[in-house]
Amino acid sequence: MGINSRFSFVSEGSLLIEIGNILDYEISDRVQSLSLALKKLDILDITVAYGSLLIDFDPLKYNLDEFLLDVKNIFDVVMSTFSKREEDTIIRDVFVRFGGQYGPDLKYVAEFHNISEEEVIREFTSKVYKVFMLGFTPGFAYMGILSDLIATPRLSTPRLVVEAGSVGIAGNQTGIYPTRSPGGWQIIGRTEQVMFSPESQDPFFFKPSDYVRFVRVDS
Amino acid sequence: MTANIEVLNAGFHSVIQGNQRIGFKSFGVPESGPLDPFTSTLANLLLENKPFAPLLEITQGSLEFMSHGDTYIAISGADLNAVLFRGCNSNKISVGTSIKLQDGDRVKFNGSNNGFRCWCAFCGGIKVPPILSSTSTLETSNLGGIFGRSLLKGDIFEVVNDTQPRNKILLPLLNFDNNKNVFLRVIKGSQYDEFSKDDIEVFFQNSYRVLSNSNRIGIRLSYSEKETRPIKGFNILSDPSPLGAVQITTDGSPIILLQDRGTVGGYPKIATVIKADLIKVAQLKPNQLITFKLISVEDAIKEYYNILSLLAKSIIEINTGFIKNYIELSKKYNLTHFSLCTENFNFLIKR
Repeated sequence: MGINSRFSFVSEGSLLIEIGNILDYEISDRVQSLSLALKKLDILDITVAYGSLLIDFDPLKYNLDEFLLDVKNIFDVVMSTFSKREEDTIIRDVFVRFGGQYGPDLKYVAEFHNISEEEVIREFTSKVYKVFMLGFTPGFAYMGILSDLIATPRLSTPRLVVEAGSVGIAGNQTGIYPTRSPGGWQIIGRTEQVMFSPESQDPFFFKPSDYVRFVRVDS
Repeated sequence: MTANIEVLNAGFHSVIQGNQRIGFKSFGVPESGPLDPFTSTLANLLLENKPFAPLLEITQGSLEFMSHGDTYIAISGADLNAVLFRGCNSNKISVGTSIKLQDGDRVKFNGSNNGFRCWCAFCGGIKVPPILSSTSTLETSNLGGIFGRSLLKGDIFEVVNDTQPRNKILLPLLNFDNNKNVFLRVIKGSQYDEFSKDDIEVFFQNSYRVLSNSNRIGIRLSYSEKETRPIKGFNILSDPSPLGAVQITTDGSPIILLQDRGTVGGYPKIATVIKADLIKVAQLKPNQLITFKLISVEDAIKEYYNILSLLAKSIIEINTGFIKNYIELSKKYNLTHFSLCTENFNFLIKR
């Protein structure tokens, strides 16, 4: 198979499965396929990350060895039938106002790469990005992979307040702040679309494995 | 019959916690819920509530509230010296009993050196709507409880008030460690093998001091004066953070990640505190010293079973006939104490 995987019980009721430790589309696709397949087990929760996932289960319901065996069986099926994503995957559009009051760090990102703000926006909106995982705060999507033309290190001192809807860059990742919170990413724009609405039937705009395209709207 | 509770003084930190928020970790939502998921349920069970009915988690003390209408309360966890004020009278409220509150009664938690947190349940639970299938407050995201935050002076919340408490007492079978130096048992964490043998040895030799900026996200630790040397973390590709994980940052500060933590993180996790020891973790106060002891996952599960079985034996119902008989007999024979033995426990009742 060529997949170096590792299974470890990291608490009485949590099994960590590591598939890879780099930011990579295929590894992430495998993690996400596995997370969907594992839902057929009687478990409590799954945390999906870039190259790993954590299963929370009730240790009163399973014997550890039996649980590991069940998980490994599902793992083997998923990995042996895995194929790269279909090209007809739905892409979600996010409408963004760039620069100025909406994107206070757009200027810095342009200067960092010695290109114009216009070129940063053109490059940023020219690609489709994948949602690798959600975390940091509820609904915060970690997306990528940004081209090296615009990848920029995070702020040396995080801001105490980043407005909800802010679109940021950190290294070769991009993300949208769902709620007003502190944050250290380079903010290049802002969307008015709501990323997290806890009281609605469908609280989260994104789920892991979504694809995203940023569309420029005039300020 | 309705009852409302008015917060007269919010104290150091008082927050509504109920059931865990399960099923949203892939969207970045941690479980929240009471920091000690065992002891907290006892306050609810004393009132015939569901084990995870919304209650108050009270840290350190100074909370004061008034009851508008009649209701019942019960307290579990550390004895933060709660006092009931009725008219000109005041009486200490014991941990582990149900207390009837009348309209106008005030309850104040004075705090103590013996422990850091208690849970105060109300008859039927506090009436709050579930958000993402949980009533628990997640302050970092303004979710759950009252306006997604800890209590403030002037807050008023409604009590469900639909249960009929019976005569129950709590046996103190679940105890936290109030020594100056607390031992926390851990199992190997997600990146245990990525630390050098030397670092691992040092990690278990060192003792750590609880810092005052600890909260429901995590217990922040520094090295005590007797450290051999600090160990340093490193950057990893962000991975899931289990409840109780001990994360080591790049500057070498360990943090025990708790119920309101971020679901993923980029620091290595050397160990995970076992579930049974969350009872001790919930009572850690600033400046207390802790050391870690490694045990196997199998032993951790045994300890978890043990806690659950103690939990099931913790509450006993006493019928009034028994109490009357006891009083009559002890008067008749001039007894000073009475030993009670059953299948599961034996204890002494003093007159």
